[in-house]
Amino acid sequence: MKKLLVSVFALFLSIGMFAQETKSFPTLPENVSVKTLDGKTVQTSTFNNDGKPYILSFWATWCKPCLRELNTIKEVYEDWQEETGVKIIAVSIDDARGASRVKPLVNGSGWDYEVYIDQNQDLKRAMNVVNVPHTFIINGKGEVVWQHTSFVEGSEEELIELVRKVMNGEDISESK
Amino acid sequence: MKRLFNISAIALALTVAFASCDKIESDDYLIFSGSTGEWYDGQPVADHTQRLLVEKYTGNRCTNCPDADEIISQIQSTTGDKMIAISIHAGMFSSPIEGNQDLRTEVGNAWHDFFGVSNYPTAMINRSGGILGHAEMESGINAALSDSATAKLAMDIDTEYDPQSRQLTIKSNIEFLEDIAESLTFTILVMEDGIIGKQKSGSETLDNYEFKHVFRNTVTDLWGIDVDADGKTGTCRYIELNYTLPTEYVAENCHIVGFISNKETKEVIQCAETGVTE
Amino acid sequence: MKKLLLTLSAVMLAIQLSAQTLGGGQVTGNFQIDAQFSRQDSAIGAEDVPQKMLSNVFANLLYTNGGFSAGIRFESYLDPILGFNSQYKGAGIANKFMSYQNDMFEITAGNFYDQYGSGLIFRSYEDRNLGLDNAMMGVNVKFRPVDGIIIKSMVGKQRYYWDYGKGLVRGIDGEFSLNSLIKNFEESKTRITLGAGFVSKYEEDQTILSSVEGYKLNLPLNVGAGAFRMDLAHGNWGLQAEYAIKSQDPNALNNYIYKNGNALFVSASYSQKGLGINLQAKRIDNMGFKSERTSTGEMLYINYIPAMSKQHTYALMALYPAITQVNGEMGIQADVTYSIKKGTWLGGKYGTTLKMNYSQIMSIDKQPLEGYTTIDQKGTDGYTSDFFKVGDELYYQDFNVEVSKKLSKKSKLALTYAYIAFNPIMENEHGDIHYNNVVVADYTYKMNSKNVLRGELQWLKSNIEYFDDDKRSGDWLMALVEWNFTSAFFLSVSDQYNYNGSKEHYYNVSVGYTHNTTRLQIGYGKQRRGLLCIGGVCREVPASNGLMVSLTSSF
Repeated sequence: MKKLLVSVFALFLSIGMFAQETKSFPTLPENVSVKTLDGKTVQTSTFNNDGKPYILSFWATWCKPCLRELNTIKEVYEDWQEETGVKIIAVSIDDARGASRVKPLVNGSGWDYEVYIDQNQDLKRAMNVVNVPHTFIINGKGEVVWQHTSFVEGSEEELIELVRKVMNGEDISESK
Repeated sequence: MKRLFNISAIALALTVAFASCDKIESDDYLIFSGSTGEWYDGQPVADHTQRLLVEKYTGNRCTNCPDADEIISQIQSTTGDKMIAISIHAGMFSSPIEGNQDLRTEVGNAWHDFFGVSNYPTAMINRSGGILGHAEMESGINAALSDSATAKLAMDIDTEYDPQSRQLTIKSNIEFLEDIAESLTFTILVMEDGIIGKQKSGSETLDNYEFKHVFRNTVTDLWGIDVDADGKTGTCRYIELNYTLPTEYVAENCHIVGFISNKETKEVIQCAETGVTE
Repeated sequence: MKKLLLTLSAVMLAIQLSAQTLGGGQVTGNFQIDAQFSRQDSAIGAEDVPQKMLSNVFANLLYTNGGFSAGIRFESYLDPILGFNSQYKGAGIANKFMSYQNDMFEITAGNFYDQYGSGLIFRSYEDRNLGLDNAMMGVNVKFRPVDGIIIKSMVGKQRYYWDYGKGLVRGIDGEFSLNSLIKNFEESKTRITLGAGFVSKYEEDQTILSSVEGYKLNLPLNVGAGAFRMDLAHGNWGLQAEYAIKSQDPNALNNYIYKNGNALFVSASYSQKGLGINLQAKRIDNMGFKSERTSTGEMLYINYIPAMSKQHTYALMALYPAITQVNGEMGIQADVTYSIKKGTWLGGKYGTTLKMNYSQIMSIDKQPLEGYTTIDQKGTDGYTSDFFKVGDELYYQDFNVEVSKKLSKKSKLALTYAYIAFNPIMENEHGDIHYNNVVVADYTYKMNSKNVLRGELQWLKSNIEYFDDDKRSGDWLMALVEWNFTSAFFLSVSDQYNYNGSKEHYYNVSVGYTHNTTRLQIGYGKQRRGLLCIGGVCREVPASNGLMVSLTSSF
């Protein structure tokens, strides 16, 4: 058991070294295909917000916290856009069961986000998403500067605060 | 647009090339399940010993089965080749213990169900006289062995085996020593010794238990193939069958068993055995 | 185990070093550790766990450098947590791949996941919660000659726990976006995408006896399945359809019948801001497609047929989930989302969202073949079926309505009602259809910017009296209270009470801590024996009573 613990520790240490040394931010995977709500396949290299940061959020039709997150942000999205110009890209990981319900749900809920469907979960895997909701902030250079899983009412305020900091060029990688 | 057509054409061609699905006509859904050989005139058989076929139903979770294995070994050590024993793993105690090979077979299950075996260990002698329970097994087999009735039919069996291709040729002669009016069938099966695994015994589980005489599969159909003969005393017939030994069987440990049985009553009237690599 | 972890650390260090020396490239990854401590509880049927601790661990490492990427996945199940197949027992590198891609093509060697269309003929995917992983091991190529065309082709075998299935799976698929390909159509409001795919499985011959004495089945060694699909969008309207056929495929799922399989899936939708409507219909006939003909259970499926019903997340609504009947079912579903505007009488100050969903799944018509009295006779065509005739057995029916409303700046309320009819035949059990009424109230109260309280009350009333074989039966009450301190910490306490039935309480206390992408969750309580279902695929989860610790992270 003791040896096992040592090995686990070694594993974590090496993971830790990564985190330490790779201070340069990972970039968004470029050539992953996702679908638009009209069925067109696009590459992730087309994701951008004219040099301004954007929020990339993974969600699913069956995920209650995800729907709460996107519905909560809906209330303040207009204000956010006016103030910071931030954009939300919402990527659904629904499979065949839910994929055809995505578009009616998005419109029915009145979301003005840019929505894609990652039915084969290629982007989910490429970005190491384990559970949804999983939210990323991508800066103007296409770098992943912050990520977080789970949502609760109120976290949207933290989120926009971080976007403001990114726009001011602050390093937020240590923020929780 | 032209390019689109070109690409579509290539894709279509690829699809057609890929389109390998086998279509079987409804008349051909079922095929004869055994290896079939033709019967020819054969040679007289030298050995006229009347042998017994003892089929034991067993399972790795059956706690009394090691005892039955012991009974069979004891008898075999004293009677030599007068008895051919096979162990059929079937029934409720035969689902594999974790780590064990699954020794159950479709054919074994079919026989198990056909003969209505429901207790373990049990044995059948020549597929006649009912099913012997654990308690009657030893006395039943000894009684059958001491019956001095002479053989009505003699048979021998011989094999040729190529280890490279695992091709096995099985050759058998039968000789009618008396007139036999009933229709007969001829069955060939493979059994394997030396399979190691876990076996329950009493309240404990034995590791590295050696499963002997394990019934693996039939070479012929499970109920055998018809014997093409007039049944008159003195008639000799010969048959040759080809079989590819599955790679999971250890050739050195495999034996080929042949038996002749009554097509209607299933009673076995003679049997013979040989090793694959002998 | 120790060796493996050390090796893994070494591999990571090596990648890290090479990443530095090779110039650029990035290493990312994620891991999850689940540990379970369960003790015997005969009241709920939880068995003793002699090992005391069970654990599932996985760690993914992904290296990318420009168009090149490579990854490995370490998995360990020592021993698998309750409900995972014991064949998972062990540890090692379960998954590995290398991939190169540019604008025109992408090639992946090793393990890969992909799907053709919606997956009616091919979908290789994993669902960790279900313990299901049918990753392909082989080569996958994607080719994009011009904008608007994607051709994919693959060959490989499917993962089977720590081994691979016997069948060799090959496939090709093309998808054409007409808007990109046809001039003057680019800017059209109508968007059309067409696709077609073909998948073939080869498996060696084997002896499978027929019910006719002396005869075995003449097995097709190559089984093919093809599908056509289209996706049509015109402004607010959308129409998707896919039709698949499968050649003769006698297998353990269909009792070795030779009938061809087919499947049709149609979905139509209309949506505008504040209103979304989706109608779906499907018909499945003998579409169980596996890479081993004798395989049963959830592994080795080549295709994926989801259940056509809403996936409920409230515990009592998800008690009786729909399970896909690959041998035959037909179903319809209607789904409406409607947002009532702010400031109206019903909408109130903040607006109200209404969701309605109805689904019904029936058997398909199956008639015995000429000269037979029963269907599904081994080694025959099995049955005949009238495509448009609905079978007379109800499998599943679900009508549910959800009203959610923001009551004030601080509070939100969602009320859901569902009427669910469930036929136990979907789980291969016999018995009367369960008719359940379920009501759920979900209330969120934001105390201040950091503290949020949430509560759920759920009530299920069933027409079926409690019986011991099904620990779900009878009537249930459930209460849950959850306190969140920002998104970093939560504490939740819940109890499910089988008040009209076993009188058993299934309580649970969970705490969770999240820091960026690292999440630690500890739960203590009782878990009912039952099915865990995702997307119509289910796994049986045995009863347990004890502690569950889960740590996930990505980096």
